[in-house]
Amino acid sequence: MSTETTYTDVNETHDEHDHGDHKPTGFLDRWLFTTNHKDIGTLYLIFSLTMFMTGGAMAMVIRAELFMPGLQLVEPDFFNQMTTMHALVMVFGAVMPAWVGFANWLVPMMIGAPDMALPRMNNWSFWILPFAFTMLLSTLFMDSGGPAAGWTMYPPLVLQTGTSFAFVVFAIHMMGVSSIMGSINIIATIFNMRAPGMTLLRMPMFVWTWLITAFLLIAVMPVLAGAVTMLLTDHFFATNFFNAAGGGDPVMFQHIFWFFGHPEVYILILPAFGVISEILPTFSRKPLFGYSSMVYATATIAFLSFIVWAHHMFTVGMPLQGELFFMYATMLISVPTGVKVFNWISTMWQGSMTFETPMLFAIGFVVLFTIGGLSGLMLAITAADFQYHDTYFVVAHFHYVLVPGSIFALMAATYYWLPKFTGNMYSEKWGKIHFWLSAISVNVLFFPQHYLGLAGMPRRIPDYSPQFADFNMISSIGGFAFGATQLIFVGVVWHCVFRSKVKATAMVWENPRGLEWTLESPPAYHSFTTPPEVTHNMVRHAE
Amino acid sequence: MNNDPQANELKRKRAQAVRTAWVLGFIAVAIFVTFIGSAIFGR
Repeated sequence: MSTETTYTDVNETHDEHDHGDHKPTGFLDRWLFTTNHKDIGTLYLIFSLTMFMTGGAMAMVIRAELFMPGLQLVEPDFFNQMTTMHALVMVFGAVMPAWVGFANWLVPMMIGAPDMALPRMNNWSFWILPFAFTMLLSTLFMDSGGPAAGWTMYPPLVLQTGTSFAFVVFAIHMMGVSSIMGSINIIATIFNMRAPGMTLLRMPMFVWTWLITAFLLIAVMPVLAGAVTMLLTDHFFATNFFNAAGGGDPVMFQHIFWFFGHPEVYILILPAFGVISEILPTFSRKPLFGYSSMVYATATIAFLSFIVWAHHMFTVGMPLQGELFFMYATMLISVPTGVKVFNWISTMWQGSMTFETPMLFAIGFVVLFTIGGLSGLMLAITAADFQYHDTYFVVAHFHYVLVPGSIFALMAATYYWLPKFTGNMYSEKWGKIHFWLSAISVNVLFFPQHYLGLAGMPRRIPDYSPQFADFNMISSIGGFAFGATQLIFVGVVWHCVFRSKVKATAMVWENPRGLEWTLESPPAYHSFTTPPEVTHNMVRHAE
Repeated sequence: MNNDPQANELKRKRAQAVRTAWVLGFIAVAIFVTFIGSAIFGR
């Protein structure tokens, strides 16, 4: 008999040994006090979807106001609160918790661990979040209103926020604590809980990208915490960190903020790279092209993300040498990113491709994220950035990276793994309708914003000159369509979880690789109580 | 004493994970203190 455990052997092994379906029975025991990685993952995903709809509603207010020139619906200050809150909610409330939710569900199952390494801390990491966001959103109902200086919170403008600013800062502190604890848990799990034979270079790409993301989070969330703490003391305790009149330097805030802020962009997108690297091979029926180069490219992107921050602030008046350094360092990121894009294309090349909904979203990601990447290269050129800075071109750029980038990858991940999580198949017809309406409307929404920016329309304003009217109207129509389309997504997920009669098999798809597919659908409440023996033929990239 | 080798192995892994967590937590706090400290003393 061969000494190698085969893929099927492992599947049988776990059906045989997993008797771990002992869920707590009470509602509070199951959800409030849970230490189970699957339940905590579900909580994160529900929270993230709620925040996605909340942040989306704010985006609808913004696009409704911008539908026509002039002030129609909201006061300018409230408009600015909407742009600020939309960003904070989407970044910290929707995208980051969604990735943590998927990490909770998938990382233990992908590395053959019974749970996260620190389950009680895992519970705490999640339950901090609803309190943080309740506090943040409550500022909208306070006398002084919510924060309105943009998510970047530049002083001195942000210091004009009233007493509600203390709530904003404390909410950000809590989000940071939650993210750091979540990251520590993920790193501790990956380093210590892998099944025998699951070497680092056998780990699935989603695990690798999350490992690197977790290190980024631990490195930069304390920097954000430091920056907002200094804002807090400047506002309430008469310090002068960023107050020029007291000998402080407002530009120093920008340096500190963007030292956090640029790696934050990669925190939002690296797990997406991992998801796409899982999905494309399955539906191309080929191994991932260039697995190890994908790992090294991810690490290189993470390293470079620490040395490019000042490209967000070319116009503050840096020395020319500094501007050139940040320009070239930024352009350098296109090399490892290009490695990834070409590897994805090579993975699909001559594959037996089929176009189920996860694959459609993954291909949409590759095409549209690349557009966002290319406009990023344009912004990296210092001289050109003086024209683009603070215009809608920047808005178009980062929304191409984050919406058809991170959000499409999240949609792809949901369609790919939801049948595994729930044991039910979603409606493929409605999934495809969701994809095509999203893909069309997201371009109608964001592509015209490139032209608006190039024509000089500034960002973060509720009113604009009449020459920008046509493109704004088109963009708003795209926005309303994209917003409405996401209701389909909610419907598809709800139907899959509660109503679907089509049961998913253990594999769900045609021969996907990875340990999670060796478990039943849905997996037992406590999976891999017996660690699997992992061999090279069980990981796709080793074929 | 628990003689189940699998349970013992899991316990050992969890203990190691707690050590990893302490190191990472210390790094996070050190970064926070360094940034605020350098803003105070570095000027």
